[in-house]
Amino acid sequence: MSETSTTHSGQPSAGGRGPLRAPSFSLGRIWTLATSTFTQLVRMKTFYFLIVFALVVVAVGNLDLLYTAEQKLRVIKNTAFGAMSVFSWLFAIAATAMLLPRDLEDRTLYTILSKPVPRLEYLLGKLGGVMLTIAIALLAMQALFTGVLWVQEKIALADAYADMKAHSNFTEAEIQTRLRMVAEQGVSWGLLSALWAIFLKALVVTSFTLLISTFASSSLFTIIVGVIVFIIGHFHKMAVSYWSSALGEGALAKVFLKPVELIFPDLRLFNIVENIVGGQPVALTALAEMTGLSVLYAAVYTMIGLYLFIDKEF
Amino acid sequence: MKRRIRKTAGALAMLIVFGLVRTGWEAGLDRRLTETGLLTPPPTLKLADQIGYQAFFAVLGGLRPLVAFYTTLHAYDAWEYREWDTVERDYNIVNQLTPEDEDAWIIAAWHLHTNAAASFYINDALPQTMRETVLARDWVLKGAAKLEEGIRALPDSWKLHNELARVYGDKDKLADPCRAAEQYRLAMGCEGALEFVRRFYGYQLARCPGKEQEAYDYLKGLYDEAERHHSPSLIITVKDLETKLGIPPGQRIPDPYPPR
Repeated sequence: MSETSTTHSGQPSAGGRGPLRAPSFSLGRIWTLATSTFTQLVRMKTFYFLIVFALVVVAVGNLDLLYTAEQKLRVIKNTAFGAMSVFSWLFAIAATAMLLPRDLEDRTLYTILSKPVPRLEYLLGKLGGVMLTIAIALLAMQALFTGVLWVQEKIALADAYADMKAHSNFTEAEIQTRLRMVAEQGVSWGLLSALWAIFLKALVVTSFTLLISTFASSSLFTIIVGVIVFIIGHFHKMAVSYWSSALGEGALAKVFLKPVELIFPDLRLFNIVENIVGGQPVALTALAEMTGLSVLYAAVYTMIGLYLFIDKEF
Repeated sequence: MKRRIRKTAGALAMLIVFGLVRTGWEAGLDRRLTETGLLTPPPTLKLADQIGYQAFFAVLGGLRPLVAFYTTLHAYDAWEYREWDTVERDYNIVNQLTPEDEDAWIIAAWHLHTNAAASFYINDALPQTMRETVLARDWVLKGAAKLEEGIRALPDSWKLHNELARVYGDKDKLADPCRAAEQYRLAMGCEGALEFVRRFYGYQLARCPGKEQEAYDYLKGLYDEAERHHSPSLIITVKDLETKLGIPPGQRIPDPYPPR
């Protein structure tokens, strides 16, 4: 029987071959941290939002305003995607802001960091956990909304067909054109692109909130600063162009305005969701570019967060 | 404390370097997305005064259609109480927020040229001359202007041209068959226009002074083209034109209701 020893992480190692060292970077550890963060967030009753979402979508689906069939379907889509968008960014800020302080409060942070878990993995695990929760919530909302939209689309198509058939003046080609116009506002694969864009925006928002929380003193501070960054991220381009025209392209404008543009993320780009939902086709290259940009944002914000967090003492 | 300041300055420097790297990329992406119609140009600050700053931030945050929907609900409420100025203001906002929604232009115009106009027309509390010749007509003109604005935003929409033609062609509204015919002609040229638009163009042309011969040739062409165009309106209009233009009996279309 060979003599065994244990490493400081508690893993047994064969004697004579030196202690087994934990890998310096482990996707397995990140996944474990992400799933535990997910469990932590689920226990906070996060998914109760789905009940509100379901009620809103069903209520809007049954609104009887002066809408054409296409408009009615468009309103369901706009409301559902608006709710998904609000949920994702609000959740991204609020949940991420609570994670680090809660780990500190529960002393989980000490337990984790006393093990051979690099701080980068800890941050990536937290980011992964929030994104996993958002992804599952978005998929659940998408499934629910698709069901409602599909039913409403079938009703709208049947009504439009019956209405046109009742008037003998319409040709078959005209009826088909009308039905195609209604179907264009119904369930389509293109809507998944909008869902993906919402997810990407949530990724950027989560990563900058995580960055803020690495130096923040409380959850409240993180939430407030996160919301401010979110708002500025949407309108700084417009404000910069407005002030540039008001102040001119002088040195003063550059000194005050350029840093704003450089420091804050440009979240307006993610507003493509509105037009995708409206039926505008989206090229895969555009989506790939948006994905690349979002991943870059997340990577850079996480690295800056790590820079602030790496030698932080608790 | 020194360390904290150093760290903060380091983080800010990293953010600025990252900003320098990404802004060029983002500007290009912004331009490409706007060109392909995926990204709507940012609203002007004037919109904030119209819809309030909360709604304005919602618009900036990507909730433009949702704000438009909420404003539509508000307009619906105002319509029930016949608050026409509110209806007009709300739909101005809706159209500004969602100019791509042709149905929103049509409904907005309908509220103005039909509902508001009729509401003033039948309002006994107002002097008759004023309500019939000033107020009602003003609202009809506002409705037509709304449709013209919609056409400027969506020049290829046959539905908008068709709606404007109906306002021009209606004898209780603008009663201008020549301009109605012109709008129907423009509608015919748009993709997806339904066939009735072709017949309606002919009917309005027939009412336009000096265009009778042109209208007759056009409608006779439609009549000869297919039996589906043998609608009672088309037959009556062609028969009227035959009489007006003195078409020889041998060249006239058969009378579906010959005198006994």
